[in-house]
Amino acid sequence: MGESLKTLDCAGLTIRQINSFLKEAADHGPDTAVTLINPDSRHNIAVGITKPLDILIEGNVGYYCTGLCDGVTVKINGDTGWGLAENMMSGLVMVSGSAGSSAGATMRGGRLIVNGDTGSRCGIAMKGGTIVVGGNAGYMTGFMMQKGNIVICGDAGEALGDSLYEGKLYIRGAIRSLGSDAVEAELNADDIEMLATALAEVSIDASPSDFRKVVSGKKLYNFNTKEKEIWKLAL
Amino acid sequence: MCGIAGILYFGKAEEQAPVGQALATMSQCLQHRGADSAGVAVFGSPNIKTSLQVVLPAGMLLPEPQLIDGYVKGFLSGYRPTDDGFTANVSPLVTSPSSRTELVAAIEQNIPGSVVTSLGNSLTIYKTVGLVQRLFPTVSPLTGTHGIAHLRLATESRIDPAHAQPFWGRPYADIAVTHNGHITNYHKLRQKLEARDLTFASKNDSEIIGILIGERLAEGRDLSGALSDVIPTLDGSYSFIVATSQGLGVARDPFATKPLLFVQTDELLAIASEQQALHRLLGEHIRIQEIQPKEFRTWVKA
Repeated sequence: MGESLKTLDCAGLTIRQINSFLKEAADHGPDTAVTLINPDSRHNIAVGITKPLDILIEGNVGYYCTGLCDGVTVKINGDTGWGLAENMMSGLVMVSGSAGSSAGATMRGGRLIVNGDTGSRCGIAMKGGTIVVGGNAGYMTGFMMQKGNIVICGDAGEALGDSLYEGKLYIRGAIRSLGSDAVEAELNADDIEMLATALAEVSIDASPSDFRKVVSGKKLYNFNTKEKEIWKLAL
Repeated sequence: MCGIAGILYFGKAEEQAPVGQALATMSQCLQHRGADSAGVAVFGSPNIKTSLQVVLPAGMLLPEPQLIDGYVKGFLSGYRPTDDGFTANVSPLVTSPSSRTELVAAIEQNIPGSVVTSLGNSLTIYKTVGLVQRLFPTVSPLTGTHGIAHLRLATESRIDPAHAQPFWGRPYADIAVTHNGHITNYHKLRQKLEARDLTFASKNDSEIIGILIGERLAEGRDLSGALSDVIPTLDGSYSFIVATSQGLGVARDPFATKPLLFVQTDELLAIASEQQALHRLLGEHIRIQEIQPKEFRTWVKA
């Protein structure tokens, strides 16, 4: 790939043009690397890239950056808005600054690393993969997480892990409050191993044993089959 | 969806601060959040006289002053036509909320289709249907101490200047609100206020926020106290900014459904729905903070 194609100045381009450039770059082959400059906090940058590509974004981005991607490796030197890496299937997204609400929403695999803070509802309805937050996590982090891991090196806001399914949260700092049916549990050997790997990716001096685990109390989503009469009515 | 913004300049040369330009810059960035209508409320140096603004239906000429005098029993003077209606000075005898309500009713009932869009000593409101850039020639040069802006994506109620924001908190002087969200118990709240003879310019839920806050301020609460009284009575989604002659206040609903970011420096406070507006105004290297769920805050201009 020629040098002149490697860096794209987003200024003056439409989002469609920027994302078309990225898709073309991904078509070039798995070792392609590109840089975007002047993203200007715009929305929907790098959405829908489903072949491996290395992207460096110099600056702040708006909402839904790297949404609906599969297999991309993205580094953002800046802050992001809402919906970062939404529905990521696999890959890596790393943010030097902070992310807005709903970071990693409904992601299915891959790793999302935010060195700063995350806003409310980080990892909402996650179905797999790992989110690591170097700073603090906001309100209702891990809301309705089905599967996956969220590692929070700082503090968590209110309603942590509200309505969890099989997702797991690990937190080093203070928990403002636990969400509905979220309970603390003991770390096991698998947790320690997972944490060690995850922490190696963030520049935080922390050890796995510093963390507490939060999981579902499993009272909300189980029902008693003997109470079939109740459910017959509902169905 | 709606977009909101606010700006407040602290410190000495306040009355000359480029409030209009700041709001225009931020509004342009937020335009994609709503293209149905837009508006700006600016607080400038206080005038000795209280004045009000009236929006007339498109094409209607300013009625003869003597005719209006008849309706308002001489409580208005100094009629001046504007692009969309007129302004006039309000007699210093009209100070109580009920006398102001009567004055507003006298205008709106006798000039069919007219709407009183603001009243105060330092507040002016400019509203338009369509894109916010239509306001820029008027608004960009304005100086003052603080102001707020709104971009509307209508989810209910009509699209016309009366239903554009920021809404004046009628009939209380010098208070305006810009709101992103939906107050779901608006009708219940409105019924209670109408039982106390308060009136409304529109059927839009956002309008009620400034009226509720204005009521508390008129009872002697400060802005922070007024917010702490009013917020628990609101149901629904909201991020809003209230502007009074004293400064700005913000609130965000308990689920943080609508965004609200701000930057505070020694010189100014800038608030916006999206970070791009703050970066465009203040550059890339700023510390953007989020108003937290359930949080409310106030800033005074002095």
